Amino acid sequence: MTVCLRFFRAVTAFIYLMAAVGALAGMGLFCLFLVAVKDLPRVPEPIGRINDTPATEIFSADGRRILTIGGRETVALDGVSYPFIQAILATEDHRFWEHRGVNKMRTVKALWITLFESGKIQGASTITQQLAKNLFFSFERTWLRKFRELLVALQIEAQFPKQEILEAYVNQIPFGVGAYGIGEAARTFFGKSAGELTLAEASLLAGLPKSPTRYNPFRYPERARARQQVVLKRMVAAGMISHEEAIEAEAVSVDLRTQGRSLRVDSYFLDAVMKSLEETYSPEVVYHGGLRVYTTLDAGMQQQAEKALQQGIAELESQMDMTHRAEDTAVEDDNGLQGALVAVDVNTGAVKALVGGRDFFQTPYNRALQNNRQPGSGFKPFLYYAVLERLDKTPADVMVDQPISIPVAGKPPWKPRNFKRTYDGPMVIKKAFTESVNTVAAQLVSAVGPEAVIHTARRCGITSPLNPVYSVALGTFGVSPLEMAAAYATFAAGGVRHPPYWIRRVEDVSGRVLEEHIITGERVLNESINFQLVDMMAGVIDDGTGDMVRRMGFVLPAAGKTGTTNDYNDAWFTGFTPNMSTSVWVGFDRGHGMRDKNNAGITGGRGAAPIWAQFMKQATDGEPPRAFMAPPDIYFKKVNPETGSLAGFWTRDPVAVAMRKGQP
Amino acid sequence: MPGWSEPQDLKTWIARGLSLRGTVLFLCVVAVLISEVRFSWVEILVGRYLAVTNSHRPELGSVWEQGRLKQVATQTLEQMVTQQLTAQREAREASSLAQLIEGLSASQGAMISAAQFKSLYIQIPEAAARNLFSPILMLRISAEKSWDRVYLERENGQVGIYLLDRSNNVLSYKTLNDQQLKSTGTDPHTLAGSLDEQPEFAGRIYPADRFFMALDTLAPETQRGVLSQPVTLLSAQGIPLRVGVSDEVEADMIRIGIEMDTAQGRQIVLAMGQEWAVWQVRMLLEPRLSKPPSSKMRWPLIREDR
Repeated sequence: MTVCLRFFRAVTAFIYLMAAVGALAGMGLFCLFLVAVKDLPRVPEPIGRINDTPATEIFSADGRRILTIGGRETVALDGVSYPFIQAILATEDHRFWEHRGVNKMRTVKALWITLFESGKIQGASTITQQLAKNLFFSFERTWLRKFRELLVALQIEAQFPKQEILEAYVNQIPFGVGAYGIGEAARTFFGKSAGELTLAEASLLAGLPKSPTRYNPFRYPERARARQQVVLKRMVAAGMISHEEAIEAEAVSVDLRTQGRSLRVDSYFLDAVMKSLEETYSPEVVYHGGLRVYTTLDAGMQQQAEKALQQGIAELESQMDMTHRAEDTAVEDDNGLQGALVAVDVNTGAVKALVGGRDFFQTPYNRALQNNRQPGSGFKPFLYYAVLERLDKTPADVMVDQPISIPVAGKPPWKPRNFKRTYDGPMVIKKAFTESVNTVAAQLVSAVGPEAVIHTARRCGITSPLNPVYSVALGTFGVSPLEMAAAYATFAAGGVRHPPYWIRRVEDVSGRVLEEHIITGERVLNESINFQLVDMMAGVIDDGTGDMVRRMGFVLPAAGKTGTTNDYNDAWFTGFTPNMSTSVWVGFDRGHGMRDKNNAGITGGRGAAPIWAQFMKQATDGEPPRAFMAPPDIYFKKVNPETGSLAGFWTRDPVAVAMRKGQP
Repeated sequence: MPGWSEPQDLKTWIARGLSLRGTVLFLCVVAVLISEVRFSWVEILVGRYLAVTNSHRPELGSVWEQGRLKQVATQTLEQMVTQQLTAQREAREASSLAQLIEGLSASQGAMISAAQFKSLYIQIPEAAARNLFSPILMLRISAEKSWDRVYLERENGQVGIYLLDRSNNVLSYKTLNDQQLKSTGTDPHTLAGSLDEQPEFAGRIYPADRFFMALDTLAPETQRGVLSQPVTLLSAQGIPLRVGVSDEVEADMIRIGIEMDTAQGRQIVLAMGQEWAVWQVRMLLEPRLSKPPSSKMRWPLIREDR
């Protein structure tokens, strides 16, 4: 056989082989088609109906919309800036206007690379395929899913005009930070409409859908910038813009909307709102029902709270030896020093600001609502109220600060100590309270009983589990900052309890009211005894463990109590003016002690009170001073801080105490 | 048909390869391929086929799931709103406070306007009305123009009534227990059985004719104090036999039981009277009660006289 003959024979064999392979492939494809078409989803008509779910909107107390869930904003293609259309086409599918749903050449190339170049996966999805995937399919990567996606893309192309497909696509692609569709993206990132986007802005946005998290311009501006340059190069390559225009757009500094961060500022509050709504209405209604939710949030106060907490914690970190701590703790387990702040309107119970941590996106754990942190001495007001009420003691009665041992049935005696480890001997009850003397508190709880303390706490709205043991008076059971702020608001309101709430009203999409909060107040404490306690709590801020508040320049009448737990694990300050009650907690999630570089512990007065003062100064800015209203049967007298006897002009550091008529 | 044999020389190979049939077949295949690349007719055909069969395919995928969730949400909301609207309509249409309260469900309160509440309030017996909210308070909050709405709800077996301002602040509220609820009704409340079976009336049971005779001798104001709406008693079935006065006083109100002889047996019709007015009737029925309480004090003096 000649060489030529052999060649022809080989060619013929190859042709037959290819024909056979082709036929097999054709048959295989047909079989695959039959399999795939069986469960192929129905395509909605019109395709724009994907955006018709009504949005649930959440508003702040002043009526500002602070969050929109679902209900994507649909922008007509005419309303989208031309540079963006060009940029997205150049980036995602430059042959969009030519193909019929699939870019064959690109698909063959991608198939070749995926099959024959190990470790590489090449994508070749057209805009129509991406739309099909986003509308119907999961992100599971299987050949059958890919084939079904392709079939749906072919149907979409056969069924709808190109403009309609492109409009549906640009209105549903994810751009990150909760922005779906070009309308929302333009507003979220640049605070403008989709039609106003410039080439620089459009090219930045067009680069995001590839990986919205990775190219998030708020968090990774450099990556987003690099991606923008890729988009511009593709636009030049596709002949959509000139090289000069690309260079010009690259040089333009893109101003991201600073308000973009406010979405994060409100997040702990919104998290609480969302959880309440889901419990009441079910997730389906919340995410797809289109509710109008009017909350109690004071947006300005919320930002002040966030700022005060951030600054306060940063200041504390600078005082603390964080490097030493980092060695002790596995870094991946550690959320760093954290804090929480809740501000409640005294006269209604409305939650005006709520911050549950330093960064919601870093740690969504809402510390403002979790009841697992001991309040320490912050719980003493409940003890002292019970003592004034049940033992008929007065703030001028004398107790002795001394080492004590209180027998406990079946257990070793309880021997609480003072934080400063010294004992000051006899002192009036008010002084023992303002200086947070543990030994006196221990004597009082043994006299009044832990049940009385718990009863008072419950009346004020503490709902966390509390066991009737003596130490409950020293705050050894976990509570939440929200509970503390609301319970102290009861003291501030003269003994009237207003349950805390954050949703004022809920309406459906047509404005029909589904729920309205009724501001109920229930008198739970005796007004006069409550005033005596408030006077003692004012002493904490004026002369006691919380005097940092005054040193930081907060001048309005206020009362409060510090709280510090064993080993300085928690630092609390909860205090109030006649209008607002605020609780601040600072600590580590895993309960590590807080100590400064000199190994001195961070107390509530040092760790939490400055944050409280900073926040309250801003939150009450411009408010006229308003004193706590004294009931008619209250009178004041000055007493000797050690003997409780009436103070003369020779008495050193007399203490002014509030007395009820009839009390000596 | 002759069997296929492999060509043994180049000439035969070429002849066979370039035969008309082979060439046509090859060109057809190439044409089909080129036309597909150029005109995408396979895509179009498949797309059209799928578009035609679209309505027969299942509603699967995230977009349909979203639609379903939206439908569930809409239905749930509609149900809630309908319930609420029904409750509101019933509340608006209630002709008496008792009817309004009866229509309250455990899960659904009712919000009515202050004007409607006032119109219902004036219908209830004066004594019960005074016990509910002081008319002076209502006049005061009306004058202050702060009172806007009233919210009623069931809570722990009782009914809470909240007078609200425009911001939903509670101006005043009252929680009504069973007994107070009964007193808001204009229809007399009845119990089966006789007065002897009710310990609260023991020792204070009088023949009905004597009781009403005594009542008839009193001033109209006192009569209204004892029975604020005697017409409703008249509408009750049966003939009054005996009248009992309760030994329990609550907020200056005292319960009166009128034992009726009906076709179904003995029944007690309950009413609320004001304590001071009932006392006046009792003084007529039991003259010993009219003796001044100081009589005991005078006893030693009488002994001295002896």
